[in-house]
Amino acid sequence: MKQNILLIEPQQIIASNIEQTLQNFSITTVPTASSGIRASSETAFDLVIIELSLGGHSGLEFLYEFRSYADWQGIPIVVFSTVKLPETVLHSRSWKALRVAEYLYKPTATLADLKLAVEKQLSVLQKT
Amino acid sequence: MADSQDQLLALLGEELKQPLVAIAQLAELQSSDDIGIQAKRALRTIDNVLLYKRVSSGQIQMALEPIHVGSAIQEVQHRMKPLLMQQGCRTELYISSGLRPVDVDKRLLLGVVESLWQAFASALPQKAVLQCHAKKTKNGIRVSLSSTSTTFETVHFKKVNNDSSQPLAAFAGPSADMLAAQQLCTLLGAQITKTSRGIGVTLTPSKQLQMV
Repeated sequence: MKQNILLIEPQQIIASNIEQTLQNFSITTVPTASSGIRASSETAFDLVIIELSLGGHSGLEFLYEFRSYADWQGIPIVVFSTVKLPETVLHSRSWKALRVAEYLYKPTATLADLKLAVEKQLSVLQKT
Repeated sequence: MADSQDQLLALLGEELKQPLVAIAQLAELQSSDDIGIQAKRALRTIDNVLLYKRVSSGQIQMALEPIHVGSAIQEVQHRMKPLLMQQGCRTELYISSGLRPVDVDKRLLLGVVESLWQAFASALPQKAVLQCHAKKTKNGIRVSLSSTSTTFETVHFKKVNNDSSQPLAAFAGPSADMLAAQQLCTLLGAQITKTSRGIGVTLTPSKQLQMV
């Protein structure tokens, strides 16, 4: 049975590229933070991939809300975004509190990097 | 007026990233390296221009630390290799041993070297050799680029003086990379100048380590 991944990505072409790369998984793609919360309440996801630059509520707002729900605490999150986060943010207490498993900067990370990150997080999850 | 122009530039930069990322990804899926290399090149230009905007506006703070220039150059060389190989070109590094670290924000230093490298690459003919030098001078540590087979100066500057104390100016033609390099240099408290070893920047050795 395929593992379920929630992909929050507003750009259709990029979403399609990611779906093509992660063919071995069952991907649910939504374009916004609020639709991501809705989808999470309807389906049990094993991992979330999210772009931070979203219309409406930002990806950061999604992360804060997502992590506020007890049922979703253990779901790994991979941020795959065009938003360049400085090291000071990545090492900050507030960022660590969001327990983002991996942060990948889209302009420099490849789809192969994303696939590796996803597979790594899901294999960690299976061992726990 | 200036604020709205800055806002527009920031917005444009961020908006352009999306289609360029899509192009780079499609190139990766179709194993079309050449297209991906050019898309990533454009993404680097945008990132370096936005970096200047963010630091100069105070949106992000500079973080000074002692950085070994040689390792920074090697990092940039690694990133630039696909771009130069696409043109059949290669790089030679001439990094003097025993160079002291410099006190800089690493992102800015990498941005300057990367921007200069890309600007140079755009002027290189096929199969040229790009030389990168890092050596100690009386004014500090000089990082410069040169090539025996380029018209780099005439491509990018209306007038070039050989007085190394004078900053280069008067860009000719489109050169966002060269402009980004110059702007990032000003944040480092340095200027792009020309010497016998090429076009580059002179950086001050780390004061932190001088005190040790």
